[in-house]
Amino acid sequence: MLSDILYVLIRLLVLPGFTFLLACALLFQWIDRRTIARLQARVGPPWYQPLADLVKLLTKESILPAEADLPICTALPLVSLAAVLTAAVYVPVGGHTTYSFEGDLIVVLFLLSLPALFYFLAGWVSVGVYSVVGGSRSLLQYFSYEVPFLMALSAPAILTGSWSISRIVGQQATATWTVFVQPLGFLLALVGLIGKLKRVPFDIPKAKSEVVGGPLTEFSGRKLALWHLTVDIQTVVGVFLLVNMFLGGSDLGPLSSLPLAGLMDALGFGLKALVMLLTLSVTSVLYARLRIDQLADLGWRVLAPLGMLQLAVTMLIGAV
Amino acid sequence: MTRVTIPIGPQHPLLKEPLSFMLTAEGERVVDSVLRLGYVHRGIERLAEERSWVQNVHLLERVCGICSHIHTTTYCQGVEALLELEVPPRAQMIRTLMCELERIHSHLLWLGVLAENVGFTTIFMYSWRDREMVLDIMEDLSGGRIAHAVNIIGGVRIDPDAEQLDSIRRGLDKLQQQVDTLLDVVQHERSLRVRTQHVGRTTKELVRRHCVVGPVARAVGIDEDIRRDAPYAAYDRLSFKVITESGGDVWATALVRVRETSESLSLCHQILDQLDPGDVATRAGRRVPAGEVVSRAEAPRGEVIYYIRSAGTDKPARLKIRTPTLPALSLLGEQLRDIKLADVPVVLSGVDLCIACADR
Amino acid sequence: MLNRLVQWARRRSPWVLHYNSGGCNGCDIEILDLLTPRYDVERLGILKEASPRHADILLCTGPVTRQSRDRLRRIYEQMPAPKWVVAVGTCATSGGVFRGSYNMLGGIDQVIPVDLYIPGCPPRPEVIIEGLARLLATIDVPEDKPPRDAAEPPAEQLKSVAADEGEASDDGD
Repeated sequence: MLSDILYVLIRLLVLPGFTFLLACALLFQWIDRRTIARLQARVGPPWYQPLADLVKLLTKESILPAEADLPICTALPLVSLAAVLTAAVYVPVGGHTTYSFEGDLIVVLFLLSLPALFYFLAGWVSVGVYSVVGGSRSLLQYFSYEVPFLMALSAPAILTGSWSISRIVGQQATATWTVFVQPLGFLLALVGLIGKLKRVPFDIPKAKSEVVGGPLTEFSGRKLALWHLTVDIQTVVGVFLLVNMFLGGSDLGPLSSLPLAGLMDALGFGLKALVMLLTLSVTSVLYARLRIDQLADLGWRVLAPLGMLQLAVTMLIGAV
Repeated sequence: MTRVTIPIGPQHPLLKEPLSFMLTAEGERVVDSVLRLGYVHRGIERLAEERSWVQNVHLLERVCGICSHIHTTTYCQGVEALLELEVPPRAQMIRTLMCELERIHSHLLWLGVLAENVGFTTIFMYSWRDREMVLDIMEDLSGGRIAHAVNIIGGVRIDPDAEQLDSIRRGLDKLQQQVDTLLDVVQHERSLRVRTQHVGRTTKELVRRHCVVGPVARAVGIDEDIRRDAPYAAYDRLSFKVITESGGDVWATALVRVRETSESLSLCHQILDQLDPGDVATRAGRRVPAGEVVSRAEAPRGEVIYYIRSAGTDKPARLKIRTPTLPALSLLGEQLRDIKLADVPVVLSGVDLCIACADR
Repeated sequence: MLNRLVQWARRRSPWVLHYNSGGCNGCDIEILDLLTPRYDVERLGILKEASPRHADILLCTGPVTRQSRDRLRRIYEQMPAPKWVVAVGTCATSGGVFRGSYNMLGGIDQVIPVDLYIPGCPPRPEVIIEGLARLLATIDVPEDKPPRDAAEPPAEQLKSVAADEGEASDDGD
């Protein structure tokens, strides 16, 4: 009994729970910043930089404008962080799933989209002009990328006939990786993820030269630290999710049958996650920021129809 | 739709210098703007009346940190005209060399700022990295990266030797390759073009009405350049093209500026090849005979005008500076009307404001 | 132990905010230059932030003009503690070449307390980095107090401190 509780606690708090995610988040942020710096002919921050930033922000004074709604402003970053952490519980890592049930994909997608809404709210309740403009931008952006993203991620589920992430992963090990069947869906999901994480070229809600810091302009100290952490963990979960849905999870093809299966699983999964992360980093070096109307055009005229096409093709194949 | 007032400045990541815009926006559309200046007003014109002719060279170099050399050049030319001084040809050449190096520095800096404002950090990093090469050359020549203190009344302070000239040539050649790359990027990079083409579009009439000068005017096809139209320093002995475009949008001004950089590099090579031997300065007296003079020069941003009046003492009786940013600000008032909020940084970059110059 | 960690973090993660209160651009472009490939201060964890609320160090350039004064003070007050102010350039240090003008208050320390002066017209990026490194080396979180109390006194107090200092140096001139 006691050992059961202990077991659950360890899974939730250490591996693959909070501690593991935190480590991944900091590591990913460092790899990301370092890659971007290298591509821009710079050196970039040392490996401990994300940790130093986090600790520093956590111990700074936290002030808000007098007109801001203090309880909500305090709650929002916490709730967002909780949402992405909960989502992480259902995403398999290296072939291991903490919790899994039929339909967990939908829960994960829902939880992953929550921070965007809270981000908008954060801008709204912290009342600064830039916050409000940034907030409304983030909402507009949300409607542009979310639909294609959802369609792209539904396609593998329809293909497999299951809404459980671990089943979709398992299916890919026996057949082939989804990315080879649905390259278009993979691209859409990638673009959607970039939008979700508000990275260049979709960093519209927090565009420095237009709206200063966007919805987070007025946040400081601990609250800001939690917001940053939310985005970092969202990055980790998003990357893990895409690896699971499209790149076959920890499956390494013929190499999977080698001895030390557990190690190979971890290695395969880590490698794929790294590739995904590097793709994100490289993308953000290559583009200028889009305008919000250009993004809406892209979202509704290009991405959404493509998503529908992907879905339709998948359904047709399923029917045949 | 409800109207919001969005303040831009005086502290805003978009601005490197303090000025303040109150933008009235309906959603993402800016309908009107109110400009407030004066944050950088240091009273330089008044200060200049209290300082001697020689001290003023030092003071006027600090009107603006980006185009510091052009200010001292214009001032010294004016004073030299009042003194009826013959400036040695070598000094004229070195002055011109610094002017062109400064133009390269200013234009590369501008490209970086534009890129940063549209969220393209990579181009910002690359163009500023290349700018370091010009700064190195200028430092090698004068000892200063930003403030060069090259001009003195009657000539220049520096006299580069053959070895220095060779190293400058090597630096310029390296820079030429980088500028070609940057031109290629500006011409062909999709996402940069999407953000700058058809944005901040001006017309010839608008430019004329607001008396806008420099790259912005040349981007609508107005073929004007003080270097060619009213040659000063050594420009009458050098050959160069005045770059014009017809688009009138921010993209066109970017093309003008990057091409001008290329042209400046070729000017530098010409100067290095034709550099006359001889003195670099003539002695100037402490007192300047009474009279008045207007001195003009082509700064990286357009025409700079100095009006100088002497009462025959060791100080100017009146010094008036007109910089290209003044008409640009007036044009900006029209440009920041009925545009998208996200285009504001692009339009602002396009006219290349230098508030330190305008406020003085 | 915890205080050691906080001290370590604060020394390695200084986010800066830049405000030009009336300078000529010279120092400003050298500060921007810090971010670019040759100097790349992200190596030291320095990021240039856009909002005063996110920043730890205020990099001030230029002398303070009358019109800039209130804004400078306001930006300083918007920053969360602990915070530091660095005056970059001769003008920010003393008013420099513009001293004596009718629109000038003098250096940054006439308005807000300054922790570090970096003279030079303009100071080279290397010098600014060296100055920042020295400032960071002085950041302490005393062992006997929790980090939160070790922070600077609240803004109201600081304002009065600033006013006192301003008057004091006025007398000195």
